[in-house]
Amino acid sequence: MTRSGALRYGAAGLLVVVLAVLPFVHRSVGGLLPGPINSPGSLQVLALMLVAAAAAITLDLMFGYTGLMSFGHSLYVGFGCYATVILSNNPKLGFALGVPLAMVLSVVVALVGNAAALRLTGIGFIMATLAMAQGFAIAVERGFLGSGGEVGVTFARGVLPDPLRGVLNTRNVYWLALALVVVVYVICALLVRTHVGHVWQGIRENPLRTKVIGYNVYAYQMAAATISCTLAAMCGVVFAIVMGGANPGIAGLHYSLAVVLMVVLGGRGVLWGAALGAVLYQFLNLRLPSLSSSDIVTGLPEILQIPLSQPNFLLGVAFILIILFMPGGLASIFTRLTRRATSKRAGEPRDDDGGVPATTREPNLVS
Amino acid sequence: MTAERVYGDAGPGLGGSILSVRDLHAYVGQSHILQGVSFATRPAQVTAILGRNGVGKTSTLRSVLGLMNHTGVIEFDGRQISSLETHEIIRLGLAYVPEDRDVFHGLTVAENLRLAERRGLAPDYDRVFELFPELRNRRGQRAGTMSGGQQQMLSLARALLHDNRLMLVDEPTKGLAPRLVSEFVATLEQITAHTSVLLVEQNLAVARRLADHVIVLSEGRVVLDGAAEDVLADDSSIRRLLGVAADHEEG
Amino acid sequence: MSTFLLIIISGLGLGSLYFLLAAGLSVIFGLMRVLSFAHGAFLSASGFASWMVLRSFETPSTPQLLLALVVSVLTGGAVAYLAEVLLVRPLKGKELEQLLVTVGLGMVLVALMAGIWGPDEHLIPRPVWLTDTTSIAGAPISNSRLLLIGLAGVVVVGIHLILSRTRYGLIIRAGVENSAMVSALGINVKRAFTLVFVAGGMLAGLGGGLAGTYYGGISPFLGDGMLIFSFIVLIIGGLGSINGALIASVVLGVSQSVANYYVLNGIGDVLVVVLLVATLLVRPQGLLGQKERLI
Repeated sequence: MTRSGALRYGAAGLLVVVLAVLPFVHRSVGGLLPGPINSPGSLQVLALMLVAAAAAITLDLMFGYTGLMSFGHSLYVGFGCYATVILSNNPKLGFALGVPLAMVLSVVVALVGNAAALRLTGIGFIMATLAMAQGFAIAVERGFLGSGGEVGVTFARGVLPDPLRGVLNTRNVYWLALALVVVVYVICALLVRTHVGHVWQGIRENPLRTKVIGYNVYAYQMAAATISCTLAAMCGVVFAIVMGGANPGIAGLHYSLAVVLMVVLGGRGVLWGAALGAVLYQFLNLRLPSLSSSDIVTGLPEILQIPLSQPNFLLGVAFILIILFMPGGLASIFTRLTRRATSKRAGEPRDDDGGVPATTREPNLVS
Repeated sequence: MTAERVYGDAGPGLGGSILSVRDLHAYVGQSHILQGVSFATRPAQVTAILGRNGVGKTSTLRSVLGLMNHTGVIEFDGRQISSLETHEIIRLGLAYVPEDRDVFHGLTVAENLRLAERRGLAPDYDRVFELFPELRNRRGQRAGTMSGGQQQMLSLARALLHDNRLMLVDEPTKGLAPRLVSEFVATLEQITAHTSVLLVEQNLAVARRLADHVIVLSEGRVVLDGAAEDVLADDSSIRRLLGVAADHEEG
Repeated sequence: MSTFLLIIISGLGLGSLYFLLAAGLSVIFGLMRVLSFAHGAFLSASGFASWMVLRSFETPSTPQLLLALVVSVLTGGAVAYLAEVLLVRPLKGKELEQLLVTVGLGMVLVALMAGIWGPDEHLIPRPVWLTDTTSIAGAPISNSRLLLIGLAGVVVVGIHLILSRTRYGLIIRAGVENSAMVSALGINVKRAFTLVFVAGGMLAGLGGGLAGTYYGGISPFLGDGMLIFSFIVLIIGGLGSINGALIASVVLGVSQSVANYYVLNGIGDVLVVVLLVATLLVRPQGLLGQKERLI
């Protein structure tokens, strides 16, 4: 292990430890969180940020590493979420059987959905994923299959195991979300370092060349997408536990676009970057409305107040600026800094998941 | 072999050259396709670029036309054109006959030609239909339904609608039946009598008949540059460079 | 029978709205390889523009309605022009980035509209004759539907005339096949790009104005809801094919309405997605799309 590698593992471990002890910290952080850090409200906000981070990491696996831009990640997160609640509420199954069954079904959905969507490539794939996710969103909004329509479904009384239930146990839920991020990150980080992961990155750079070398591009894409979407469904399971149920908000185009935005904001092709983007996104999204009703903002003229009270306005502007001027996302700031620091030491391998732009295509269409 | 010059020699100071290219570099994805190509063409002459598949012949043409990202100096008639857009370059008096014809399949022959008309200039349909009478009869036919040879006629016709200072012609005889090849070569000979041509060619026989000046590319670099009769004289070494077998020339 | 006709006409109306969005998106994609996620927001913004014109009248007259439609068309065009020049053009050659930037723009516009006018629907006053019905074969057909279908028909004819008769039409058709080769004939394709993007914005604008009169109201999210169905229309019809978009719009609009009425409300929307998946499996390039186009 190189020195910078050791440093990174150390920093990651430290971060996890710090996050893990947060539920014991009774401190107020201004208006940033709804209450003291270890209050149930704050812990739920933090847990949602962690779930978002995990979901963004899973999308980065297929988008940032394999070049498969999915605009339908909400299908898998949403399916995992709804299936968990609906199946667990079935008295014959309960939580203990409902969750595994939800995951099995999620794998099936991931296989079928990606097999269909991968019939198309590039922008066609984007639209296929988007449209299929939309089909699910419509079904859920209309309340088909016991999904409860616009209000969604909640876990029935007594379905959730005791340690995950109730305001007092929010910290257990928070730890579960933290564990989810760690598990998803470790799985993805290991995968992208294997031979398969390198083939994925080859496909991202140039699918045709990878095919010519003799790899079955479709099979590798299927693998990446299926793993990514299955892990996304796992995020949906935890989301259901954090929220105590499922609602259409997680199933629609808006959520799919949000995950894409998180990944691009943070830096595609960098797993921790995607997580960073997600944390920022989710924080702004959950907290901006209450922050913008604070005195600082209400004192501003209306022309400034309107945009500042709309999380999507600020996020959208940031997103556009990132695309125009910083294609590597926020992570590229860090990778640039560390590269400058390490470049002084000759002979050290470069950061292998540095901010590589996802597409390096020719400007024109002539072959 | 007095004409053999080392790569990079075709620098400035070539009086009368209509197109001069210096230190051209281009990438496709990660691969360095052009690694410092330099050459110059002369007015009213045919300059042929030869080389094996994938050495960067087409990329050279496409870089000249601004269809491909590149670095280096490209001067047309003494003017730096690297920073211009493709349509601006064309309007300086260039015409492009691309590899594999590239006519618009969904458009009719007449529409393909109309598209090639340039604003403010009178198109010379008489010349085009005199050279290719067949196109006159097929004006209403969709280009995509024509044979390869007919499409090649249309592709050339598009470039001949106006007088040009320089024509960039990419493998005009590729994939054509042998009988058509000699017909096309005869037509090209007529054209080249009064227009400068930069020709990419794989067929050595065609190059011998048309070219006054030959540039041989190998792995993104110019390895031979000189008068056609000198460069093409040494049969065995040119065959080695082009990777062609003896029977290839029979066509 | 008259009910059936009513359902068919209402499906055609829906299809007309999809087509107004999808036609622009299809040509934009064909020529520029840009899939615009912002045109839904353009539609909503134009709807609000027509609302601003009409809200001051209790029952607007026909000329006032026409004025509102003109304003919404111009709004759609103006917003699209700014978007193309400021955001899409600087990213030329980067298809994914261009797509993402339109996603961002759509978000920003919708958020702005929601911030300014609130997330709820605003009612749009309509001329009296527009809320009336006309009896066709015994079926009472709403005039707003007929207006929508009629204008969509005019747009279909207009697009075909422009594509087949004008030089710009020629440039667009050729550019859909190979835009680089068009520029290699000495034609400024960039200008055609802007033109097509703006024309798509104007069609979305018309859609916005008409959707307002059709639904009787406008909300910031109206356009995005229609955008998704327009995307489905694009895939089923074949990306880059106007005729494909036309056929798919009609098929989708009608089958959606029929299923929603005769089977179960809401099932039509799901049926649309089933049609989509079936298309992807059987004919991934769409009805009239070309196979190599997506690879």
